[in-house]
Amino acid sequence: MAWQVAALQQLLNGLALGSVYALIALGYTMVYGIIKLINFAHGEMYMLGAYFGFYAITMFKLSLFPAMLVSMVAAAVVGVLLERIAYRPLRNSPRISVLITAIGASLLFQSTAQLVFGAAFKPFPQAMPFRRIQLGPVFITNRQLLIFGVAVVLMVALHLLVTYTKFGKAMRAVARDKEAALLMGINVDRIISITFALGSALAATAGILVGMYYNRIDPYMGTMPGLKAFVAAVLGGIGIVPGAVVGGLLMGVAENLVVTLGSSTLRDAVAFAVLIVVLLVRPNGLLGKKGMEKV
Amino acid sequence: MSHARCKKLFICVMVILALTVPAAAQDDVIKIGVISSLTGSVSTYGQSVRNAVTMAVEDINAAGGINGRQISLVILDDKGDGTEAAQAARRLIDRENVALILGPVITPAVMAVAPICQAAGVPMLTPTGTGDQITSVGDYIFRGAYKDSFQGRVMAQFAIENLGLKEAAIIYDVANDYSVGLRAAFKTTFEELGGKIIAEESYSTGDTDFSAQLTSLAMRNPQALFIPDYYSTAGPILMQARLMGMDAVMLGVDGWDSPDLSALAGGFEEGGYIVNHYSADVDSPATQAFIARYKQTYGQAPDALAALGYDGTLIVAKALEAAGSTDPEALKQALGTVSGIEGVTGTINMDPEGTPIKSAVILKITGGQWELVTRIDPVGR
Repeated sequence: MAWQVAALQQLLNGLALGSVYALIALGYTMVYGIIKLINFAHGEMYMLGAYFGFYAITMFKLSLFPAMLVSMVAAAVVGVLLERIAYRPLRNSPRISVLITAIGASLLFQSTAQLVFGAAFKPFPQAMPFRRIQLGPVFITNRQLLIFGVAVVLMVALHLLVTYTKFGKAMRAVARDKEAALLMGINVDRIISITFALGSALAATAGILVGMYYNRIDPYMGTMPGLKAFVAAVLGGIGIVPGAVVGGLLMGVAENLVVTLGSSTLRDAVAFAVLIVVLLVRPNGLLGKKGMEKV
Repeated sequence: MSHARCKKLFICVMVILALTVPAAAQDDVIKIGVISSLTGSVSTYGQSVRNAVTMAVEDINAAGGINGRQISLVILDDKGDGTEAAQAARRLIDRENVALILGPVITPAVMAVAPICQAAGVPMLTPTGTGDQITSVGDYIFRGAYKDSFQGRVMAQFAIENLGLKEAAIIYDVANDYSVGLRAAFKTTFEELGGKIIAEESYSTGDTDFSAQLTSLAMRNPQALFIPDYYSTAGPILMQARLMGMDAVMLGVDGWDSPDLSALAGGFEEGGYIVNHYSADVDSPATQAFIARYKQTYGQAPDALAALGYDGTLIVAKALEAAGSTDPEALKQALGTVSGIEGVTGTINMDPEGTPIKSAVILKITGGQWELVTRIDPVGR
């Protein structure tokens, strides 16, 4: 009995962590879908989001949701600038050049953050009381609920945006065939900018949620979740929006269950073992079809 | 070259000469290198150590220096990182020609620097490093703090004998020597004294999510949870554990001692016990004078790291005085034998192996303050 309860509790924890991975993974997958770039600086948007939220709450005395909004906008601006300055000039260069630029941008963001925000670990302002909701033998904290809630709202909003709006249609068109989209009069540059803005805003939200949940932020906090979200995106099928959500949730749950069923030391190992297995067995990811041009 | 430019050049040369002459006459000054974690994940440790070392050196210099020679400090930041610490050590030894290195602060950084000092034959004293393995690197390596095996044993003994606990769980950082060493020492003594470790979980340096591990531990409902790590990690663990409804007694170590612990733990550190090097409640005149001066100079109460930083400097000063020179061989001999130093953390006697013989205190967090619970002397270490 105790074993099942533990597993159920870990499942809940896993879904909370997985929602965070999913929010970050969405940015990876959208950017990949549209310009075939693994944006390795994406984890840094998550880190910056946490810091923007931190300063919005402590310096400008905003409450949680306004702070989240400010942070999303600020991170979106950084994301757009990153694309403008670092990636756009390389759009017709070999993909490896852009990839290396992305890794460079990631290090640049980390070091700059260390310089500007300081290298010390900062406690995140706890802008909401601590609550625990008992659900039979298991429980859920109000922070976990917040993570689910915000993640679900944002994912649904993104889904509606991509499926039903003119922008979404344009975005899918650019992903399918950039040249043809251009010929149809779609402003490709603008679509790419907006994609970066959306991805960065989602990652920034994840940063704030994690700050609230774990109460600690630092300039290097983006590295590991960034990598894991990347694995999540590949797991779901990179370039496929629902795939990122599925991948993220699976990763979160897998990581947590490993602790119950196996050893906590294996936690990170499992995350990356998943990547290797997926690449061997289903290179296109869980939701990817063989040979399909990814969207 | 015009006359005016010639004159300018002449002035420049004179200025440069004026600046370099004191350097040439620096034989009178004893240069000590300090490596401290001023930024990074354990920044409050490094800042405390730097503050206290600076204060101690000011005191020593004001009192006439060491055998008439003044001390000058070269302070470098290692960010709490081994690689950075090793680079700092190389710079202090190769470029600054320091007589001795004081620092680094945390065990992983110390373990990166110790082999360099040993190979270069430059004596080194870490005022705060507690890892057992530190002093086994060689005969040039010393410390100003107790060892982790002692600290872990003291906590286990206190948990069983004073708190009457029978079962405990441990969560530790599998990637940090300090945490791993403490876990081993605690576990051994706890089990020797008839207690039982009912569950253990681990994580890696830099992790922020402990919910999976803590859920596993909470299911076993332990009486106590031992968290041997620095404040920057112990804080979030404490908060996450309490939010999960874990009501175990929280047992900690000297690494918890930081003004930042409370914010990182969200106030959930309340009621926890730690082993520490010193307590502000101790009545000794040396301790009270130190606390008053530190508060006056830096506007905050000194933590144990500050106390150790001050005492470490006193040990070094006494050794320099006894050695009568900065000759590494003589200094090494002196560091292993100085005794009877009235420090902030008590009377310090160095043992030849390189570790001072000192007692430890158990503190409890009550109303946000560290309160002295008991003092435990090093018997049969």
